[in-house]
Amino acid sequence: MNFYIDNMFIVLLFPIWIFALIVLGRFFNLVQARRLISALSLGSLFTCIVFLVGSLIFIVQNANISTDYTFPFLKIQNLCLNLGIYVDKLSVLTALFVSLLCVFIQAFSVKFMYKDKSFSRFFGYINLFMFSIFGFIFSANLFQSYIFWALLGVSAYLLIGFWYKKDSVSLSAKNMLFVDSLSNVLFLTGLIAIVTIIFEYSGDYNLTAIPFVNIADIGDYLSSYTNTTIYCLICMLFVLSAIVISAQFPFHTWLENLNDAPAPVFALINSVYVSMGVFLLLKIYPIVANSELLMNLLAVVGGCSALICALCALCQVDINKLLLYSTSSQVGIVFLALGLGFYNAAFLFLITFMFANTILFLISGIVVFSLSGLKNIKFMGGMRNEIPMCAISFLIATISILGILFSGYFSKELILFNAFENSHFIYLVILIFVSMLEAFYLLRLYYYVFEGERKNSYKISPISTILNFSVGLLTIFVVLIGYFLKRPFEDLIKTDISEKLSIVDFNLIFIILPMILLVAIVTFEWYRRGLNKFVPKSVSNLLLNGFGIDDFYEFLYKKIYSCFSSVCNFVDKYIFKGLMVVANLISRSLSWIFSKMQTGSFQSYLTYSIIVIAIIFALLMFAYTMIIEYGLLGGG
Amino acid sequence: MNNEVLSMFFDISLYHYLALALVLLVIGIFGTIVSKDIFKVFLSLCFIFCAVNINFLAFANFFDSVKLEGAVFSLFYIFLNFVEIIILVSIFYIMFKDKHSTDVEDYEELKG
Repeated sequence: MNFYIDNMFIVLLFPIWIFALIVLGRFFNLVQARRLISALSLGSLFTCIVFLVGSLIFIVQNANISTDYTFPFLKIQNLCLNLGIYVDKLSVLTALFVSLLCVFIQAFSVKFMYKDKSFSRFFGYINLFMFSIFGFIFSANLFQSYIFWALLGVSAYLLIGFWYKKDSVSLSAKNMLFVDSLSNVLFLTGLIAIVTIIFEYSGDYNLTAIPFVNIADIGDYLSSYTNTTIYCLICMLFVLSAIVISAQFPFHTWLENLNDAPAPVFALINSVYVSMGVFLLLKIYPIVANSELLMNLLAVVGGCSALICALCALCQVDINKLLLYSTSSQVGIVFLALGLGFYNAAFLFLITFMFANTILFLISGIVVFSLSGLKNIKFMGGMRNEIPMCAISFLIATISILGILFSGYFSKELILFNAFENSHFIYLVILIFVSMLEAFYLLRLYYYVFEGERKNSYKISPISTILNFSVGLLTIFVVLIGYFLKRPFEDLIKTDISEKLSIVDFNLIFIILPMILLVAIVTFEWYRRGLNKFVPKSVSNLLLNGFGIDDFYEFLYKKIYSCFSSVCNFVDKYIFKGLMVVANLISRSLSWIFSKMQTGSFQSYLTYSIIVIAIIFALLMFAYTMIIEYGLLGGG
Repeated sequence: MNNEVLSMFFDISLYHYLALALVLLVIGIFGTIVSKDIFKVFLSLCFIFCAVNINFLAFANFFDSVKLEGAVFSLFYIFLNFVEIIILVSIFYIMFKDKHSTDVEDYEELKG
């Protein structure tokens, strides 16, 4: 059909091939050259981008067609599970933006990680991550999605725990893996439930593998044959799984507990990994959108996490933690938009947010690196004179995230305008309030880090030009990409449910921009005069602890879970162990008897055998008598 | 005594033979289990063989018109008995070299 689409599996094969090469190379001490590894990795990414652009052009020219190539992987009677790739506009667009992002991140990490001893290991992990991302994006059915969903978690775990020799790092990585396995379990449960119901009602064996080709048909089947409660429950499992991965309230704490990962890893996790939950929702959108309740759930969860995480970010002093809360808050807005039914706007917002967020994290990595590990923003300041390029990029990314200018402008305006048009006024208020909070904490971060006097005496480590260059290039990209993201994509999802999205005709930004600027000015004044002393200590502590959600989980674990486990311990110790003791006693006494029966003299053995033979004969004779007496042989 | 009672004792029927064989079998089994001396055990085994042989011949006499198959089989069986006894005695000879005793209770190596 088309060269690029036919050979799309190359996009999957390259990263896993490089991963295997690096792992084998480490094992056999073959490929250790850093330049070779980074050149291979970046080259493969460029090839991927070429293929993705080629296929995107073909798809757009041919009326947004979608294709799938599958081969049977597992056959159980009539049920056939396929593996393969499913290429449509959504997946190609997402993969394209992800790989563009990863080019910058990898170019950044070539320099950033160059002095690290395990440079090749880092690139191996990144390529494994790329493989699972591409595998998830191009998966042909939900089974394959599940496989790559699990692989995604594992590779993210490896990346987060990259500096595993620090205790805090390995602890946060474990925390992340635990939460990720929760999402895996939810996903798998939903998968099994949905397959069972389809198997029972449709009898169509092609649908039971849940291919994405006819995901809309599956949604119709499910909604017409099951009752609404069960349908909601099943789809809620998928939604919850996506919520966990995307670090939404109340499961967002795994993201905020990350610390001390390398800056490129922060960027990857916060832009790519977190957005995979949204991507899953977009993939199964035809199923989810059938239920009003689920959409409300999505909107509420998104609104809650946007609000709560934005509030928590206000008081943070750790630069990474502030940005992590910001990520959760931004993805919350995406969820809110999805829940209101504006999936196109949500997708646009996700893409622009991914790019801008990457810049923020890379620059925070540079800042922390140049201040030799200092993370508290209260002791920074005056960095604008040291790293002017980064300061400008940071400001541009902030403005883009806030939706004041550049690429973020269009999507944010789209969401706000449509919330206004469809009269979701509560959500509109939440969105505006969250935008104001965002302006507040991001500008506060900018002021603390880049403006004012220096409040420390650290010697600034020189920043290499490559780091500056890659961040600057990414910034230019963020500015320019707004041209392509100006209006929503057509035919992103094939569904009967029409999107209630209308193109902006009057600029709501005239209302919102002054508010954001107002907040910015207030922030600046607040910063200058040191008015933060008037905020009560208890409130700021509450916000600093993230409303104590982590403490709540700890309480759950320490009190309730340990109570439960002590009950289990009691049952195990006394009831099951008692059963075991009884069984032990019985078998021991039996074996004692049998051992006493082994006298060793053949005469006793002969006696036993004669007794047994006599018993058998007696039984046989009894049986024959019964047969003759009652004619069991029939007519006897 | 009238004829019927006499014939019950002196007309030898199949059941007489079977009763004789049963008595011999029980004596043989009893002797095998109870005897202390190994040669008494062998002797009791021979009782059992004998009982089986009598059964063969009796059934051959009463049910086989040619009256040959049971006899042939019993001849074959007698030959087999000889071989068995010879093997048993030779095994016992080897065991005897260790313990120098004919008492069965001295040979309890299989005790668990």
